Amino acid sequence: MRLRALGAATLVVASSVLAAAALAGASHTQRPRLTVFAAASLTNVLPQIDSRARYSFGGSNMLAAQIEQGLPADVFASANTGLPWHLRRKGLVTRPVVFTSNKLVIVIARGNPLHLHGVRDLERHGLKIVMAAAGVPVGDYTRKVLKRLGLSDLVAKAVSQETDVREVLSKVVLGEADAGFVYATDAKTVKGKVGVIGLPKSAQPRVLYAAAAVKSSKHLQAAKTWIRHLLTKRAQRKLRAAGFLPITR
Amino acid sequence: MFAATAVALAFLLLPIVAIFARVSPGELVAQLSRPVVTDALVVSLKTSAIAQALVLLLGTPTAYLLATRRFRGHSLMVVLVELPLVLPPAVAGIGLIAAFGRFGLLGEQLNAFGIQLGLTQAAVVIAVAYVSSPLYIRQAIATFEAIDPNLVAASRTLGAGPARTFFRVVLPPRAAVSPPARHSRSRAGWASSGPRSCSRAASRA
Repeated sequence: MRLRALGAATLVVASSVLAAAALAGASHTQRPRLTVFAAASLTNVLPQIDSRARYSFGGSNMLAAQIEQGLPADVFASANTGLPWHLRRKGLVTRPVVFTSNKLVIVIARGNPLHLHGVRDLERHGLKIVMAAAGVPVGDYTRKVLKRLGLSDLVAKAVSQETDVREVLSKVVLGEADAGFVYATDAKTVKGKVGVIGLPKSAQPRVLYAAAAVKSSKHLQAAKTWIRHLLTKRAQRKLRAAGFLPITR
Repeated sequence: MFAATAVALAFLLLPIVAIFARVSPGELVAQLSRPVVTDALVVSLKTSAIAQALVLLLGTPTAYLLATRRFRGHSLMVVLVELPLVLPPAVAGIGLIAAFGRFGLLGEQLNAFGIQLGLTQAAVVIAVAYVSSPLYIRQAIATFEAIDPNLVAASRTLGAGPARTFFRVVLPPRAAVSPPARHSRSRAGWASSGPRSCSRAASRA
């Protein structure tokens, strides 16, 4: 009698475990784990929006090159619209969707020991300025800003051309560089560790982030849904909280 | 054994072949005229040449000491010398910044002399030296250990001082002095030191 009860209990437990496993399996097939190639500036915010996806963060230009070389990504989220449109023209991704915006700032050492107060102070002799390389979205934006301000000579003066915006940021955080050009959202991730100098509004480039689904993805539908999700109120709130700007400015 | 060698060779050569399959030699030559490319090449050549000279200068006596003397802490020293080999590049990079950067352990002292290494070519030299010296020292220890101690002893009894013995007996790759074949072969390896022995050690590591 006792044994029988035990047997029944085991059966119940076993079947519920099986059912749970089946359910879990079902939810897996419903919502696959996506691989998202995303701009380095999205490093902190995207996992807050979807913690399940697998992310590869880097310079958007490097990620685009990797997608061109056939690396298995499901979604490409770029810090500009040019790169996803370039891939679109090659037939590699779906139509890019603009989902957020940003602006450029200058980060400097905490406490501002060199008394830098504006972008023109960067012309001072002997300063170590870092920026991203041309081709990296933030590098191109930086060049655009400097050109508008008539400070293009600063490009040649930069002591390092970095591969993505977080590399620029880390050089200033570590104190190896005196100033670097990054997005406002990057500066926000290291609040208290760096100082921030704003750039004139008239010089600000239009920084737009665009996402596209990779056509060779095994989860194309899920990838498209994921991108649509970026436009939901919830996702937009997270982006806003991280300092990103709404699309219509 | 031959099959394994063939696989290993293919594995090591395939990426290099693939690069040349992708970029045609004509395109490669055309790229060479771009200032960005020549700049990069000049910086690479200059910094590695300086780094290798430093490694040679400081690494050779170190390797000789570790190969010929036995003392307390000898194995520990060998381990410490080889430690950078197993560090992931990112860790090595952060370590170098923590040591030589503006706010690094030596940063203040260097700053006092007006030296700031970060983001300069001197920093490249340091990084290259840091990565390549364990490879060199390791190989050099092995080569020094392979030298017949009798040859050294003979040189000394014949009246040559330690320095002369080192430069005339230990260092040169000498076919003239014909020790057992094993030695002459390892000396030949020594003669072709630098990149080749480095890469050999690297593939072993």
